[in-house]
Amino acid sequence: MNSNTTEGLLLDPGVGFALLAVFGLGWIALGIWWGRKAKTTEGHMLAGRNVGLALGTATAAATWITSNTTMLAPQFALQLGIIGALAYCTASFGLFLFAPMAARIRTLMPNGFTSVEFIRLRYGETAYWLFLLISIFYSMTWLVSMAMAGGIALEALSGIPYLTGMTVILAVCVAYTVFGGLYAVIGTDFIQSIIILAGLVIVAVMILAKEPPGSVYERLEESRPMLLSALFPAALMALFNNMLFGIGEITHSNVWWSRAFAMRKGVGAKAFLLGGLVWLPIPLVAGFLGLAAPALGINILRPDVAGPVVAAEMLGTLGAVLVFIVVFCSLASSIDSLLAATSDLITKDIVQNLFMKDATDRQLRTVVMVVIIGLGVVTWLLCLGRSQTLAEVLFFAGPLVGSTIWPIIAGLYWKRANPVGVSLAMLMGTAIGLFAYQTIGWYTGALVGTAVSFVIVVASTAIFPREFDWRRLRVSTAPKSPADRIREEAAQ
Amino acid sequence: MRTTPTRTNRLVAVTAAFLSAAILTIAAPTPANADEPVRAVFTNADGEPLSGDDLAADSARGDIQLHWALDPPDADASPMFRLVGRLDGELVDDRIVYYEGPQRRSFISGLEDGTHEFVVMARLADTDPWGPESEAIVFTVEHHSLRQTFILLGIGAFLFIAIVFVVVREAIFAENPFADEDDAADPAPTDRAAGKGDGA
Repeated sequence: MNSNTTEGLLLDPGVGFALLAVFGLGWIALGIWWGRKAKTTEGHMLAGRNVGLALGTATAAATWITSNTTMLAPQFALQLGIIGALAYCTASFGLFLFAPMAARIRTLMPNGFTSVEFIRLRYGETAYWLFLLISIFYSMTWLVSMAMAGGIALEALSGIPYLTGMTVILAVCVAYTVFGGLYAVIGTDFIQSIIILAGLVIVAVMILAKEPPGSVYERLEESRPMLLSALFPAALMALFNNMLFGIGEITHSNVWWSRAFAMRKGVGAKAFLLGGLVWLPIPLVAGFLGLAAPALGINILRPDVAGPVVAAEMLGTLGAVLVFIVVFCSLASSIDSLLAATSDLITKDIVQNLFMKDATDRQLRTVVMVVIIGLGVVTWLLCLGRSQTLAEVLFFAGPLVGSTIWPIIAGLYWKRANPVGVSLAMLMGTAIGLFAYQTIGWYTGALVGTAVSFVIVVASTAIFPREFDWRRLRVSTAPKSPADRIREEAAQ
Repeated sequence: MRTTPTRTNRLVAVTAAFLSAAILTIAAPTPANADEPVRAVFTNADGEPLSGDDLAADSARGDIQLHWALDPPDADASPMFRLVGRLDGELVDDRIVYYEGPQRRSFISGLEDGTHEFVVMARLADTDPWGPESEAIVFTVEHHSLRQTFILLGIGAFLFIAIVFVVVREAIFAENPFADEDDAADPAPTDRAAGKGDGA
C-alpha cells in the first residue's frame, strides 16, 4: 500500500500560480491579437464563416476534450469499471453523427447564427421557448461543471484554493473571449488541442511503461472485482446513456452549431469526423488512470479528482506539471467555446429577437460582450458551492439534452415533423428522464429522456404530419442587403 | 523520636516531590506517545460523529465515501490510519486493506453484491501497534437487477441504431431543397450538383 499524500501537495503552490499566470496571460494576449480580425458582430460570433479544415478539426476535438474528458472519464472508470471507461468513449459518436448534420445545417441555413434560431423557424414559438430554456440550462450546467472541475483539479494538484483556481480560470476565459470572440476561441483551441494531445501522449506512455495493464487487472480482481465485470449493471446502463448524452449535447448545443456555421462550405462534415477520431482514444487513456488508482493503492479522496491525482502521483513533479497544463488547456478550450456560443444564443435569440430587433451591428457587439461577462459572473456564483461530484452535476442535464435529439433530427430531415409533437417530446422526455435520474441513477436520465422523446416525435409525425416549407429557413436568415448595411453605418 | 533539621528538610523535600509527581500525573493530559493505543472513529464529511444520514454511499453502484478521525481529536498528533473491509461471510484474516496512510477519507468503489463491513484503526508511530478497531460501518450493496439493466441496454441500442439509420440514410438520400439556387450561386463542381447535402 502506498502511503501517499494526496491530501497534501503534488505540486508546489508557487509553481501552480506561475503556470496559471503564464498560460492565463498567454491566452488573453492571443485573444486580443485575434480579436483584431473581428470587425463586425458576425466576425466576432462566427469568425467570418471562413474556418478551414485544420482549424475546424482542432476546434471540434479541443472543444470536446473538456475537463469532463480529463476528469470525468477517470471517474467513470473508477466508479463503473472497464465498461464505464468504454461508455465514456461512446461520446465520440456525437461528433461522428454531427458530421453529416453539420453539412445539412450549412445547406439549409447558410446564413444562420444559432440552433435556437433554427428551432424557432422550424417549429414556432412554443418549441422555441422550450428549446431555449433547455439550451441555456445545459450551457450553464456545462459551464458550472467545468469551472468547478478547474477549481477542484488545481486544488488537488497544487493546493491553490478551490475558489482562487476557479475564479482565475473563469476570469481568463471571459477576458479572451470578450476581446477575441470566436476567432480567439478557435485560434486558442488549435494551440490548446496540440498541447493537450502532446501532454496526454507523454502521460500515457510514461504510465504504461511504469504500470502495465496486466498488473492493474490482477490487483483489481482482488479488491474491486465489479470494476472488471462485464455484467456491472450500472455500467451497462451508462453505456448507451453516455452515448445518447453525447449525441444530445452535440446535436442541440449552439457550441457545435456555431462551428457548423463558422466553417467554410464543405469543411464541416470532414472536420467533425476527424475531430471525433482524434478524441476517441483520449478517454481510454484518461479512464486507465481511474482504474489504476485502486490497483496502485493510491488513495482517492473524491472520485472526480482521480485522473489528475493518479497521473501526478505516478509521474512525480513532471507528471503533475503536465497534468496541470493539460487540465488547464482542456478547461479553457471548452469554457471559452461555451461562453462564446451561449452569448451568441442570448444575444441573437433573446435580446435581439425580443427587445432589439433593429439593433445596429455596434450595439449587438456591445451586447455580446456584456453577455459574456454576465455569464462569467453567474457561473462564478453558481460554482461557490461544490457539494456534488462532476458526474452528478453534468448528467443532471442528460434528460434535457436527450429529449432534443429527435426534434433536431426530424427538423433537419423530415419535412412533415409536427411542431406540437416536438414540443411535447421535449417536455415529456425531460420530465420522465429526470424522474429516472432521481429514482434509478444519473446514468439513466439521458437514455430515458431520448426514448420518450423518440416515441412522441415519431408518433406525432406519423399520425399528425405537418408540411414545412424549407424556404422559410433561408428567407428568415438572409443577410442584410448592402443598402441596409449602409443605412446602419450612417445611423452609427 | 527527634529528628535533626537536615533529616527534616530531606523528608519534606521527598514528600513534596512525591506529591508534585502525583498531582502532575493526575492533572496532566495523557502524552501523545503513551502506551495506551489511540482510537479512530468514522465521521461525516465535516469531522462530526457519523449518523445514518451522513453516509455517502450508493448501494446500486457499489461505492462509498468514508471519512474518519482520531477519537478524541488531537490536533497536534500526526497519526497513521488503516482502513480495512470485508464482505460478510469472509474470514477476518481475509480482510482487504483499502488504505493505509495519513489521510482521513477514502472513496471505495467496485464492491460486489452483499454486506460489506469497514473498520478503521490508528497509530501514532510506525513502530506502535495498531489501535483498537472502530465501530464497523456496515454497507449493503445491491446492484440493479440484470433484467432492468438489459431492458435499458436494449432501449439504448435500439435508439442508437435508429439515430444512425436516420442520419446516415438522410445524409445519403435527402434532397437539397435549394439545389438549383446553390448551383446557380456556386457554379464550381461540388457534390451539391447531385442534389445531396454538402460533404455528406
